[in-house]
Amino acid sequence: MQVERRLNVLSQLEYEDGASEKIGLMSAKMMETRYYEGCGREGPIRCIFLGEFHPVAGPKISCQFPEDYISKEVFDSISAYIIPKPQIQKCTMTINALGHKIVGYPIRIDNPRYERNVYLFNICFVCDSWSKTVQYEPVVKKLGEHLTIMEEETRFVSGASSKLPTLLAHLLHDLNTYRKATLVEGDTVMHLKVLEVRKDPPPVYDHDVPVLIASVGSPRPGRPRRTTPPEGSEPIQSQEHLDIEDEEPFEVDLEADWDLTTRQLLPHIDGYNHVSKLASDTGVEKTLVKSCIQNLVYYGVVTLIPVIKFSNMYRATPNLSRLFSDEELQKSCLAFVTKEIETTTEKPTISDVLEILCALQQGTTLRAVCERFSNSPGLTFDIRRLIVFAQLHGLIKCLKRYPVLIRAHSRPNGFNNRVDPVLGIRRLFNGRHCADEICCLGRIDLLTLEQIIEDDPNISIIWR
Amino acid sequence: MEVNPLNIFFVKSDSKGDRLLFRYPYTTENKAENKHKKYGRHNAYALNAAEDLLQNPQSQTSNICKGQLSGFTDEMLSTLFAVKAELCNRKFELKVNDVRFVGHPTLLPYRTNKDDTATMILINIVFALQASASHSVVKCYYDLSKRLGKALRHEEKRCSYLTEEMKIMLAAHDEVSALDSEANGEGEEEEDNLRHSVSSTTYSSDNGIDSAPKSAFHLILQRSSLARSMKAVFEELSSTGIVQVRINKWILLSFCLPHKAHQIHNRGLIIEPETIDKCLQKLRPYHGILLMVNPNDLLSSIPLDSSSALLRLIKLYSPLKSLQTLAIEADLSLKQVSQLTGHLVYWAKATVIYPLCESNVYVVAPGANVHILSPLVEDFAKEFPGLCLLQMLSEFSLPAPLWYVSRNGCGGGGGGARLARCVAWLLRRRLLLQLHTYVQFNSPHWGRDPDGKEYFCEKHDVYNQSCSVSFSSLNQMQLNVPGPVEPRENSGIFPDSDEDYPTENNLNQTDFSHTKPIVIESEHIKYDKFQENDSANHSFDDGIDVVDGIKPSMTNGYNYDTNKEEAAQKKIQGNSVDSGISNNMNGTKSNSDDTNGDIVKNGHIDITKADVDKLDTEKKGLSSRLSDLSLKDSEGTVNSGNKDISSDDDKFGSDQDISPRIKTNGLFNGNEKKNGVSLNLKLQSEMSFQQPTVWNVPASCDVVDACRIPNEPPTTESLLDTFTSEERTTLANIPASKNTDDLLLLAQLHKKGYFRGEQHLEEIMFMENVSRSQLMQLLDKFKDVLITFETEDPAVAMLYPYQ
Repeated sequence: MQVERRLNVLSQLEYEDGASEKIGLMSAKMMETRYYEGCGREGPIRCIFLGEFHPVAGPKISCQFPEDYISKEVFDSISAYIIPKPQIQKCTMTINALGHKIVGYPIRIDNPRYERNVYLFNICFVCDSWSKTVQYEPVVKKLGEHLTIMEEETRFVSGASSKLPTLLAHLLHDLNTYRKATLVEGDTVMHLKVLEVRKDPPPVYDHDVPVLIASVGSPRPGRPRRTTPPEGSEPIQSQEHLDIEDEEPFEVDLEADWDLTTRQLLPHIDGYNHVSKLASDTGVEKTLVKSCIQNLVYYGVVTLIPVIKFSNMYRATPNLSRLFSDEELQKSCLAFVTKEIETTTEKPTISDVLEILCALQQGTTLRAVCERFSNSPGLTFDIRRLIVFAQLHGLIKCLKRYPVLIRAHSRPNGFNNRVDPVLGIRRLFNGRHCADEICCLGRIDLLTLEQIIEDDPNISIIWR
Repeated sequence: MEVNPLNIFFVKSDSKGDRLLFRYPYTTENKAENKHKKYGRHNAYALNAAEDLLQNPQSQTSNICKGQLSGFTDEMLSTLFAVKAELCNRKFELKVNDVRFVGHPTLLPYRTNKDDTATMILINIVFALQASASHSVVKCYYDLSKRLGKALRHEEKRCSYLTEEMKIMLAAHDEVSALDSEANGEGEEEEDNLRHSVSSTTYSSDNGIDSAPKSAFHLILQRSSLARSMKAVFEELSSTGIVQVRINKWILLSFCLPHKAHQIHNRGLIIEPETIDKCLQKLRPYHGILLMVNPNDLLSSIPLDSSSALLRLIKLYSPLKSLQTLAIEADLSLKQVSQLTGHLVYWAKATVIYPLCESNVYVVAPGANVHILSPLVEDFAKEFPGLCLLQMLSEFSLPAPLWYVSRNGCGGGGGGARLARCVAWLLRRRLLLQLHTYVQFNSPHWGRDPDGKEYFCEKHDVYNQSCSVSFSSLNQMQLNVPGPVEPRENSGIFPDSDEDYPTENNLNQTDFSHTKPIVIESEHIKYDKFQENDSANHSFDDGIDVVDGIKPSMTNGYNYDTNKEEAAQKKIQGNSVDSGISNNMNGTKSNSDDTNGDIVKNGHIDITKADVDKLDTEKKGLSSRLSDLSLKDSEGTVNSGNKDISSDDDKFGSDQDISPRIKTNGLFNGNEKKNGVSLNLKLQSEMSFQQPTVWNVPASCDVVDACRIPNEPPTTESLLDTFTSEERTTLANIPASKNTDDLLLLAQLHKKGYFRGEQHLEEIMFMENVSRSQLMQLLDKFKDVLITFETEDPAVAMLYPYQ
């Protein structure tokens, strides 16, 4: 973690040096390879400025921090997007030009007290052109709205207040360092927070099993492999905000200020209980459980895996080779699988673990693998924990079973009526619902479902 | 759907100011609707809440309404897009709320009417996209805008095309605004800030004048060819993602938006150019291509001035061939072929596969989300009457080699050819995914913390010492290894050495477990059946293959080589009777090489099974080349006969087999020269007691050289150094280590890092020129330390949709 941070900082410092040399002429080619346009990474705010329409001079920067980050020439060529035509106002505008990405929220105040009966201003955040800026948009907007009120009340903005430069400096520092800032100005208190924009979480189904990511230990799944720290490089204190993905997964504190539902659910999330079971165990309504889990998924506290059954089949993914070379991962794997096991017996080695993981192939059920290894000396750990760990790190994937009705039934006699529930179940055999889901939806157990499938020659099974 | 454009704009800015000359689609929303949207009050009963008095009016947060751009007047847009000169000729990217505008403002000299002095004019063709469109989508649109700008600049220079078109557009605007001011001159004063908006909006219904919409853009579309071109660009982008527009009937603008284009064949499959680049980096010579479209259609759709290399590649295309084979046959360098592959993939004309062969193992792809009522089911039934897609998928639910599937009659009785076509169909739609076997060296002591005291005891140390002694004695023993093996070209047996499926002897736990659910009663039955299927396999090859001039020669080379290998193995391990090879050869082909025709047949099958081994062609010696000549005659008849039988859709023009033959002959001549080198190499390697088959590939053609690790035969000691002392202990306990050749092969492969679970068997086969059976035997013998797992090839899997 530290290392990545350090690298980030180093490269950014390098980048900054380059930028200051050729400011105004910045082009994509001088970007450090890691920070190319479209890399999808978040970057720090480089500068905050206030642009306004001066009654005489036209559009100009009335205040910026740091000074002269945006030169007059650059500003003049993009001023149409900082102080746009009066029709465009109160919308977040992002212009990416000349090596800067500028997020603004143009505001117009109509009031006869101004020279032109109107005052136009825009408080803008400047970032590097490669960085993602969507997370700053709500901040810029909120800031703009507040400044509007302050302007209307005290002419804070147009009066060229001496406090403004300090305010901007304070803002820049706090937002980059703490990702939040609190501004107190007269009677107005403004709380600003940069929120990470994440992908929409997937829908949560009855048969999904939530697992706490924090419980599985580092490295966090989906994160790129760690680089080894370069020898003798002294840690550099990071003052700037860097990628949020690089942050350590936060430990889930069960006592923390979770909402009531989450508080009720958290102790039951153990990696084996599916949503339906969680709902019935905790006595919480199922949809509520689902939205709670979805919320936790969004914030990366839990992730969803299929229910562990001994009839499941698993298949290795190309990521499995990571476990061969990544010692960090090996250690955390061993630590995880031997957790809650008394240490009297000999500890399993990574080769035992690997053997089991490699034995999990499409076509071999978990049961068969367990039986094969049941009297091997290496199996001194909970194989279920291994499965959870491997799935969380994307080393193996669970294959789901999809029953499909090859051709429709045409039995005209009363046969169908007798097995009415079966008929209802059969409608779910359309290739979109996996066996787990059908069990949950139809409220039947797996054995019954298997019986139904076996009895009907028209049903095939697709594993995928 | 975020890849679709929302709108296309054409803005000019010159000394007379800026103007939005054309946009498509032009909106037809009326102002009443506009106002409605502005205040966001749809409910008639909604109270005008008191907070509105205190708070500022709600700002607009979205500019997309029902998939169309809204909330911008044409004047607003034209001021936004008429950039300052500093921003010209570079990327223009502006995001307003949830709309992203991207364009390439182009400055160009422009001839005004009155005098011929050129002034500069700025044109900007801007695309409006959803802000959530990924960066690579934006980049593609930017590129398109840039190309349009360049085309216009060229046409303006050539024949003042732009001047003429702009005149038409401006005239149409003036006409409409004149009409407009006549009609409701007084009404216009009210709309303070919508001066130009009249041109985009139809007459509002409340004006009473209910006539055909007289939008200026409508007129422009009728009169201006440039406007029609822009409309065509927009519509082709929204429908297929492939733009083929001729600007001014002169400049052909071909553009592909891969994110969209791949959805022609697979709904919801978004492939970014970056992914294609990554895939190309991982592309190896043993990969192959699978065209998404009929090669004939593709050939006819290619412009006349296209590269002849591409045409040759497509003419020689077959999903059974590897890139390397294609490169050799089409007389291209491997780099060219892989670039052409990248090109075809980019344009959604092809995808990357491992060449179809019978030993391939396929499973249902995770993204194969097929509903029972999906149109795919019907398409499949149309393409392959009598087969059901869902049943087919359920056949592939458990991994098994293709020949096994075909033997089970899943091809619907149509034989191997049909199955192969079927698999190709499924692969095109990304319903199947190929699994490869990866190997990992895993000694029981591996992975223990070396400094962890609990694991490092004296006992081990002592053991290790003794073990190293035993190994040095092993090294001594190697001096007794039989001398250089002479290749016997007239060996009377044709071994089916690529038969990788486990036979009685080489099936081991790890490798057979995947077929467990499939009950195999008796091996003999299996092989009997397999033999019966022989003809089917043969047609499997022909059915899918397109044109093939040089197969027999390759066969021959291959044959020659396997014989050599065979011989080598026989010499080295006297007990090769139980090896898979000899089993097969006894079971199936013991008398097969009596006639040349038969060899050809077998060769076909073998090549299908392991295209990788096609590189063996290069090793053709003189003698085999001689026999080759005689073979070709017989082959001609066989081939033509097959062509008549199999009426395949994929097949096209059949006369190409002359030129490749010539080419291959040339190639062989080149190889002869290099064979000398190869012999030297071989000798060297034998001096150091390697298994000869590993090293006897001279990698004679440049193509192969480029992708091989330079082979310098290491010494035995250095090979065994690759194992840690603990690993040596374990190895010493394995009976197979007594066989030095096996051990050396193991050490060699281990040293080169093939046993780290990163390279699949096919790659090892290709890189080290070992046969599949050799590897399988090795895996079987050292199954205590080598563990295998099956997973997809990342390079191929990259082009699959993932949830």
